[in-house]
Amino acid sequence: MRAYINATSAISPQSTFDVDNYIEELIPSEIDYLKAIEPNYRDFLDPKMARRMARIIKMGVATSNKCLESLAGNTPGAIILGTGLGCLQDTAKFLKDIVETEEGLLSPTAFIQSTHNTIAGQIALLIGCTSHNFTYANRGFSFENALGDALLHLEEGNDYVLVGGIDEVIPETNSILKKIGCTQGNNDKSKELPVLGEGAAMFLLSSNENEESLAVVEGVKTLFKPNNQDEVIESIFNLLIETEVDMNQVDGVLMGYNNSKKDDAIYDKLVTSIFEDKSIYQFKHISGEYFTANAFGCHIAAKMIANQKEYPEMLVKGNTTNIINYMLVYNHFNADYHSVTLLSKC
Amino acid sequence: MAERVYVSGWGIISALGNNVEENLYALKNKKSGIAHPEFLHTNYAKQKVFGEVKHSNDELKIQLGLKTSKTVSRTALLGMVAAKESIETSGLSSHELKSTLFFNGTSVGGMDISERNYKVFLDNEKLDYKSSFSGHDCGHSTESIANFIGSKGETSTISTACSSSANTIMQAGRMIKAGKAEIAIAGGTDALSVFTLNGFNSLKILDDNPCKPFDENRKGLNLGEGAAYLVLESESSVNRRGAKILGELIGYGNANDAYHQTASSPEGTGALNAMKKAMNIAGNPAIDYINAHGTGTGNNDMSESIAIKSLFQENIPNYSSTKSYTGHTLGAAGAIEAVFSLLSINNNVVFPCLRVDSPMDILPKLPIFNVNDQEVNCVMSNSLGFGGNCSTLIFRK
Repeated sequence: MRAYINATSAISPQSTFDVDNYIEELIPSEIDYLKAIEPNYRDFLDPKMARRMARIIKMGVATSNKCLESLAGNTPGAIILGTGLGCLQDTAKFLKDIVETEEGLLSPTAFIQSTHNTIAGQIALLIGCTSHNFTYANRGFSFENALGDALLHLEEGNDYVLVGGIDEVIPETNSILKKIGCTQGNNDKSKELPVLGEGAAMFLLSSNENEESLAVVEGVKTLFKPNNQDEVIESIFNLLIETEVDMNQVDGVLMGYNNSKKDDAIYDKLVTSIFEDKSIYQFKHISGEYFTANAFGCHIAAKMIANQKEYPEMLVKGNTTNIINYMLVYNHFNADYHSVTLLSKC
Repeated sequence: MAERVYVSGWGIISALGNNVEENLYALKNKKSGIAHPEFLHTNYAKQKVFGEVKHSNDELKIQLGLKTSKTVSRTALLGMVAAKESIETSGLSSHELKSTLFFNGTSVGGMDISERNYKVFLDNEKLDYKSSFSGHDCGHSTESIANFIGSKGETSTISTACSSSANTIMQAGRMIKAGKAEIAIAGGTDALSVFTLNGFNSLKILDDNPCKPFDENRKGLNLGEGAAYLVLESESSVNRRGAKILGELIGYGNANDAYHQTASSPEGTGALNAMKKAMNIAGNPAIDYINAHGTGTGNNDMSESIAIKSLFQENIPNYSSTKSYTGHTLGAAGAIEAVFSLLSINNNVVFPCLRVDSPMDILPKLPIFNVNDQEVNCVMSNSLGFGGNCSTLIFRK
């Protein structure tokens, strides 16, 4: 099923939410992970609500608001989000409350905001959307599951689906993941491990093209625990066969390079095999690494196609091209969760 | 032509027992599994009752052939037991399993391990951080179970609070119907945790005594734990394998109440929409039994009753809440109750609401009080959750 991206919005560690000032220059992070640059939420929420609401929920509400502008008050036929770790801030707060009071009298607010589906639920609540509402929390497939589901909804006859990927970092998880050896932190670049990041990337997909359509999702494929590199390559070619696109038509490949030797080896191998003549781009130096980082990757790819513009700081290898017709986004998490998404020009 | 979606395997573990047989025995003999906990470490152990699975983590590991020294969350362990039984009953070969999709629903994932270690982390004391926290996220439980059963097809994890596993069954059904999958294991798992217990307690919706769904004097819910999975299979795959059919998934619907973050709307809009969607997809069949969400809270049972009344008017099917046996197993509830719905179909029996003294008078018909033998062709199962997430499944003989 081809799906038109009629709108997309992202909050990321760089300036991406404000479209007039879209990734003009990269601003280095001053803290130990890549923290999202958040907008003034008072433009979207009443101040009382904005104060109470957890920041991950606010990021979801703000980006979905932008995507839904074009629906002029109508609600989408489904809201589907992916989040690897969900609402960490309130989970940590409620856990701390339990520890500190030794299971004493607790306020339920943090608990209410701790469940994974709070974000999609809040979006539905604020726009009065009573339709299908799903949240996937599946590690490196959280966003891909959501995207695949969104395409299925369009196939089933839904006109509009809001889909996105969202995750947050809190200092506690950064500290725990450093101790586990999943990240090195932003302050120490010596270990060749990823730096954590966060953000929300939202899309309004439709089965119909309109004058606002930015790009097309041709298809997405996931591959769980492949035995070898050949299976990854086969999966990429299978997507091209299914979408009837030739590898020669692909103008660029956006990949999930994350600074880890082990993880990046797979990208390097693809560059020297099937993507030898392609322009290669990366996005995680902007977004950081997280379970749903690929949602941001797809957002950037859609922007590049819509604007027919490259962002030079993303180019890893190859020449800048004048026309971007087809773009592949390939990402993997921990070598277990692989996904490839094909986007094209409208 | 859309594929029909059959159930060809089932597996369950709950406070009622370790497998389908033991659960059926308890249901038919009105043996509730709700009691004070033996294994959940909480200050509320003497004050509150739970639908706790009657095995320690070590016992579960031994049963599964795992080393007791290995750190595995209880959520994953319960899931492994139930998923294993679902595969055994379906007769799937290890070769077929390699391309089988695994859809798991859970609300807290590995929280039972993380919460135990969080104080040590806050105090900045020494700890094996890897085994203490790397299984925290919901998807990790899914991954552990998929590895254990040898499923190499794609995985999916849905976390929509109390409707999580109803939604995985719906999702697997939609994919099979659309021809995007042939065989999928779908269901969910959740272990009791101090986190959820304190959460529900802070919302003041726990009954200190065994719960009384659909009773005028109901005081709240009891938390439970468990896991259940169905093997869902396309008609062509069932025919090819000559698999035994336990039932057919004919309807499903998900809707959002869009009313409040935790409470249901007074009119039960979300539940009504979910039931309507499911009935529509199923072709409006006659429903013989509703396995209601029926948590035992004032709000849920009222709102759900009103929704049932709006849909069925004066012709209310037999209904009950088996949460009076198992407690509310949260992310696992939809799948556990799907197994109960299929047990009802396969044994022509409907299960009662336990402990109802003064039934609510919202519906023109009372809930079932006894184990009734009756012809059961079609069962509706509701799962209504936090965040307004409402789901309905319909199974047919």
